[in-house]
Amino acid sequence: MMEILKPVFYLLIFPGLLFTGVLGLFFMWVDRKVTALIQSRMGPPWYQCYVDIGKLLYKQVIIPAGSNRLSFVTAPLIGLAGISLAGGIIWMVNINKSVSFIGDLIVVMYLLVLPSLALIIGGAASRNPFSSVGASREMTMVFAYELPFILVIFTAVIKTRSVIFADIITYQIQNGAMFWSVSGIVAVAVFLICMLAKLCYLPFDIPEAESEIIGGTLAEYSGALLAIFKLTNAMMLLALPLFLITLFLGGIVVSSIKGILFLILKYLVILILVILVKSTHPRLRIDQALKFFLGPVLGLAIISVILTVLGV
Amino acid sequence: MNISPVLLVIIPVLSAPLAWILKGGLREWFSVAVTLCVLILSVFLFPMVIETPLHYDLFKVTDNIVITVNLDLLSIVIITLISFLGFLATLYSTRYMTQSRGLNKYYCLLLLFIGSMNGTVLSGDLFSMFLLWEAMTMAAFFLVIFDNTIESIKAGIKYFVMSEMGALFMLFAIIAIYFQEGTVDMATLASRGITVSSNFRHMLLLFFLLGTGVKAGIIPIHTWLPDAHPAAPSPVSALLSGVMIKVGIYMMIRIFCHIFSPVFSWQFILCALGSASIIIGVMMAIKQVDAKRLLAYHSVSQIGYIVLGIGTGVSVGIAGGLFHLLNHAMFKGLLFLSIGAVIHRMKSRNLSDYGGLARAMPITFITCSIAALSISGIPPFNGFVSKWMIYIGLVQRFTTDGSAFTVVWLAAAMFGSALTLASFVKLIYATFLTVPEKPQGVKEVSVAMWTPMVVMAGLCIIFGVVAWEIPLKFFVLPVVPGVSFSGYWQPGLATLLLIVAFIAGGIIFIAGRLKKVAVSTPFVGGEEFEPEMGVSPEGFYHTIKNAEFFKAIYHQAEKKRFDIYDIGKNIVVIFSGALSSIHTGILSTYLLWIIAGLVILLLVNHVGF
Amino acid sequence: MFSILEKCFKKSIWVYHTNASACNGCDIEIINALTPFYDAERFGIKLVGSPRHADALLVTGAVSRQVCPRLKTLYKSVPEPKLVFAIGSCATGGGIWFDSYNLVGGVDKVIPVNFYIPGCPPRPEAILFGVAVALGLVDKKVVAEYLKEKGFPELVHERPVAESLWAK
Repeated sequence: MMEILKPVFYLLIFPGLLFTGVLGLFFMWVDRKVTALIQSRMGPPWYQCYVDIGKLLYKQVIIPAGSNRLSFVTAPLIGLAGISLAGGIIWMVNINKSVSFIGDLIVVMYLLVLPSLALIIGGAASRNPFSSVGASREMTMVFAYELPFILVIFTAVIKTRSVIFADIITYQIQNGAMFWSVSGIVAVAVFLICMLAKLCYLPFDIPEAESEIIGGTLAEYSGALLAIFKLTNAMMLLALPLFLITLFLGGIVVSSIKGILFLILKYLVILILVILVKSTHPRLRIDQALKFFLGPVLGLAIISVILTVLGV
Repeated sequence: MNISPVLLVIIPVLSAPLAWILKGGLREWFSVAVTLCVLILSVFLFPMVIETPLHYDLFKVTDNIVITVNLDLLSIVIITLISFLGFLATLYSTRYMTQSRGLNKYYCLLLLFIGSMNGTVLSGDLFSMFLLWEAMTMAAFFLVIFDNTIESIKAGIKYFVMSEMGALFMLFAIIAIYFQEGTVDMATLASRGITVSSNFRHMLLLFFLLGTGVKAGIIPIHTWLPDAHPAAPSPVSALLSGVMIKVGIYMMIRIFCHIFSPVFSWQFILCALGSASIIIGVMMAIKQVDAKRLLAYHSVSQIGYIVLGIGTGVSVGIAGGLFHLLNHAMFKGLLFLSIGAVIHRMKSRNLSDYGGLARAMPITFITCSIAALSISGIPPFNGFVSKWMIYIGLVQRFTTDGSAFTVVWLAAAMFGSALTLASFVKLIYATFLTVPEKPQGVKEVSVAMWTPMVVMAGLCIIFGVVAWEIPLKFFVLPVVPGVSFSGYWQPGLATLLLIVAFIAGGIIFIAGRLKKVAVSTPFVGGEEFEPEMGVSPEGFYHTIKNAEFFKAIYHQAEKKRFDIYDIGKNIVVIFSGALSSIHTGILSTYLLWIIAGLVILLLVNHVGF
Repeated sequence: MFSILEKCFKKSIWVYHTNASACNGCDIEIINALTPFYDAERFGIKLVGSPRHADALLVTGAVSRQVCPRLKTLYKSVPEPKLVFAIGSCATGGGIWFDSYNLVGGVDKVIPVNFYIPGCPPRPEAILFGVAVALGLVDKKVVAEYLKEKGFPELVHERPVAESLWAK
């Protein structure tokens, strides 16, 4: 019984759903505050994102008439389940480096597809033409960024010849972070661009375009279901940079104060890069985004793989 | 001498004429009973084979050619699969085939098909295997053209010609082996350890690859598959996609892994062809609007995964390929049966005619969604486990050979998985979730039709969640020795945690229902909501289809420039056109040809070449 | 627990802006109010693209007959609890077109309004002040006054409000 309860505790409370959710919402506030500072204004107070989720829980849930209730209601839950398990795995393999928690790198990559799939099913199940346009565009975006994403993750696999997280982190502890090589720098750059697309941030927030298609895939969601989607977004904001840090930037060390400070520093640097790009770029069209990902970004990813195989 | 394995072939074959003679409902239930008998027999044979494989001679044709029966673990797994899917498809077709003419032919052919497939897998020598292979092709041909439309006849002829070409190559290779080694018995050949040393042996392997590859559906000899599988009736499509292509893979495993010693260059070619099949199959599937043609292209793509797994050459990769073979039979059979249910109700194969069927056909919706998630490799379903094993196999291969191509295969395989998800999202959206153009008055299909679907969906879930306990332990790992997993995946715990997180989300949802949940019409900018608004299935991937690179390729594929059958057809037509210009019909020209021929013959004879 | 969520409602209001036959003057001032100079985000106010996500509707313009049914659909699409702000003189009572033949005159004749922000157009500071009053941050400065016309012999036009306006 204890063997089942312990993983459930890890998943739900620490460091899974609750911990990642609360921290993720805090960093969402950091995002809004830094955007405000860029735009020379005061931003929202520090409790703003928590208050947003609370308010959404207070609102009425409206289900579109004629839609399939099962898919409409379960779509956000699928996304939440996927990201909490993926976030749990990423935290746990860093905290306890010798024991693999549930899965390895391939499992995390497949679990990270689930939030996008949840958006698509939710958009398809709301009986709204704008949502279906959003769902079509979101799937096209997944098609676009998935190939460069896979290729740059393989640079880590190629160097360590293994897909288990423990081996990758041990390699980085022994040989220095993978970032300190030409292939590593290119891989991190491509990873950051794909991360922007995965988080649905400008310039790639095409599926959730507010002014174009009435909120895109989330057009018909309100109340608690929308709160679950926003919570999933916040958790992705925390989990994806941690994934990057684990693979390329040396892993997370939580046993010493110096380790925790370094972790916060690395995370904040990545977050500020993302925010800077987000607040200074307009939104791309879907065909421009497709050409961008399957053109220059894919080229950079292939170059990084070639450099890794050559050993640079 | 144990006669029971041969019963697996004799029972269906001898019952086939009885099925022709019987009338009406009796005929249908008789066929179901026969297939159930075959299934029970194969399940009983399973424990017998685990300890020692059954191998004995049956009939002596000449001194060196003896028809033998060989039943080892690999064969019994495939035979169980054939019998299982055969039983479910026969049960399904009792309610699906509602036309009244020609049904006696249908059940007779179905039983012959199942019997010949069992026989192909059961035979222990290349001679009887080839005979039963041809019988399987004939039975499948008549089943494909069962509907008697122009499209199905053309598809059937294309299938037949390509199959026979492949079989011709395979026959040449079998005869060459007989003359070189002096025996056609597969076990004897395997024990001799034939190495691929000479160019002649390489050519033999190429011919075998062509022969079995046509049946399996590998690029570039797959072109009969997207025409033949949609043209057949849905339960037959499920059998064709579910098990007949697996028989081709089974022969490929026998030849590349048992008879000939594994050779590195051929593994490379298998990996290359497998990866090409994955990507090309799914890119063609994305733009289809015919539901069954879409599923047929996905068959090509998933066979690419199996061939890729076999081509890795490491045990975990081959085991992954074998497990994917089992899984693919499950979810592809399920997909064809559920889309068949939709076709049965909607009387159309075009995706644009469907819509909003989730309310009307809930069981079909849920089983089809489970199959779509499984085929895309979403954890924790069964497709993910087999694909994960194939990836681990590729990483292990990269560890030993370090070539950059292995990275390319790995990237192609994972990208193919994302593309599969894309294609099935479109299918589920267009069939079940979108707004229909006209009101649908359809109901759910009958019990005999949804029982096979529910059984297969349940197996998809079970094979995924308890993957280590049931399918791998019993079906896959005993067949392939020495499997070592260098990755980590705990499906049981992962499923439990996913369900826990799901429930946590549900609690958040319920906590937020302070005011009652309301239902209201969708918001379209305040206008009246008309069903014609929304994205149609053709327009779902409008962006991808119109990107310049893909547009050019799709245009060429439309004109069938890549189709080997059409290229061959054009060559034959041009050649015979050139030859037919000789037949002018004028008597004096013919006399001139005769005299010229005589002169040349006399000259040759005189000069004495 | 629910009272905490109720307090959350006041700290984060998401607005959806709609134009019911306005001249766009008030719309421009609303967009002004949401720019970085006036910084509505410090109150938690955010502009959203779908009425399902919104808490407050900002309606401008004297309502014309064609807009009436659409405005009603929009009001029904916003989930409870909701606030409606009528911004500008036209939305408050019809402005100078209170008696025109094709305008209903005032948003409160179509949907229930919680707060009125008069002005033609109201300055962005006035809009923000109105929202702050709604959130309870400051006290109200003006009280509603109902004016009656004196000294005008008769109404120039006498037109009954058509029943079909309320049909849908």
